[in-house]
Amino acid sequence: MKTPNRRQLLLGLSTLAASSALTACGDGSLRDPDRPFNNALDLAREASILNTLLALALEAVDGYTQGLESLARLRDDPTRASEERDAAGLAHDVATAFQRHHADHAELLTKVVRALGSTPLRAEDARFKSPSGFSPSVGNLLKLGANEERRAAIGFNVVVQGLARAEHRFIAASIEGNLAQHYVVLEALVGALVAPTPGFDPATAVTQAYVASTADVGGGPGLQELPDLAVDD
Amino acid sequence: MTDDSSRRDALRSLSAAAGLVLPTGRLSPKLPRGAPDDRAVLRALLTTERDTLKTYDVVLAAIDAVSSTDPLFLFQGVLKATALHFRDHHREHATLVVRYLTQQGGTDDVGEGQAHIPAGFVPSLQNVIDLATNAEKDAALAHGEAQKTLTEGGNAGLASAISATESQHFVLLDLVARGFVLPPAATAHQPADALAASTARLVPRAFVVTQGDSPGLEDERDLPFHDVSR
Repeated sequence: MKTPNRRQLLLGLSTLAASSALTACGDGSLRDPDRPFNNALDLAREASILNTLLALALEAVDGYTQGLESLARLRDDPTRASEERDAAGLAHDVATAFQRHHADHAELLTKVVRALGSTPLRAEDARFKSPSGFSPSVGNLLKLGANEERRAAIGFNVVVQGLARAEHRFIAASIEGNLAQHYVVLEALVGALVAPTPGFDPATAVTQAYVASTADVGGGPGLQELPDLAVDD
Repeated sequence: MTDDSSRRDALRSLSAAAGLVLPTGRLSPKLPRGAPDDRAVLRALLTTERDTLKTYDVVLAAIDAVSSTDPLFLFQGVLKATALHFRDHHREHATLVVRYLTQQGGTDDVGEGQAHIPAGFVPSLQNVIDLATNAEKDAALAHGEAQKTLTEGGNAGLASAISATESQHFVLLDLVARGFVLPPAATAHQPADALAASTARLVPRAFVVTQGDSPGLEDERDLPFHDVSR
């Protein structure tokens, strides 16, 4: 199968989402969240949107794989300044954690597509392509991550309203929130808007892969699993 | 490998084609009248926003009143600027939820809201950060869980755009609360009004995608994507 680029994926997604929204809302009537699909076309459309979201998740996993290779090289290059190597190490650990979240998203979306009787996209069909002229410094790798997380969050938000089944909108929204968290953390690091302390733990900086728990629909825990912070000490 | 296609164009196309809420800065002219269930959910989300606003009022009062002996006193100004910025986002959220609710035949009758302050709250700056972190977590979750019951796609898109922003508020506050990060040293002992512009960059948009007059992350006019070629 020819690997589609991101432009093709997003354009396809837009068409699918728009036509689904029109189907659902064209006469001003409202969907029953649990209503079965009217016909095979509606079901196929829903599966196609979810499969395109899966492509975005798989692309992110692959993008981080490529980024991690570059960061490891920078981190382990003895000719580079220790400050740059330290920054590469920190970015590597953050990227590792974020990649794991994307892998979780891909796993859940694969289950959802399969549950609709469709064939999920395979990882080898959703490769990440760096933008032309990309220069893989530590700073640029963080910026690229911020750019792509931002685009992904926008993309998920745009299609939420085009999904027919409430459960699927819930999953997409819960993933979107996590992508937005990744974006803002990377942006804060890129812009030096915060100063990491020695206690900064990249593995738990963004604790959950979902905002609201998707455990009931085959995913993982959300923010509700985190106890409230004490305010009486 | 490189991707020479324009991702920006793709995103614009995606937004335009899929949007019931238009990226041109106005609400969809054909937002369907909401089902009773959707109006109930929107009212609940409005209550969440109003409660969060009230909690931020307490947060801001506590920041203003904090003792100079507080261990985080040097960051009083940047914490206040951040709280003001996040509160502004919640005001925008509440305003738009009201607009959606009333356009769908509902009524804004939920009242002014109430702050959620646990018993025994001690108003130190650390506890103020923790309190705001808890509030943002609750708000993000409320909007996320709402997806399970919302029936109309436009309402779902709005709730998602809000939840993802509150998730951003949460994760940054949580990083500070847990001591993973601190505000930049340059912000120490600076007044809040001097830090408003820089603090606004922390979470630059009140919504992930454009809602009404409020730009989303796809609007690049004052928020360009990074150049990664240099």
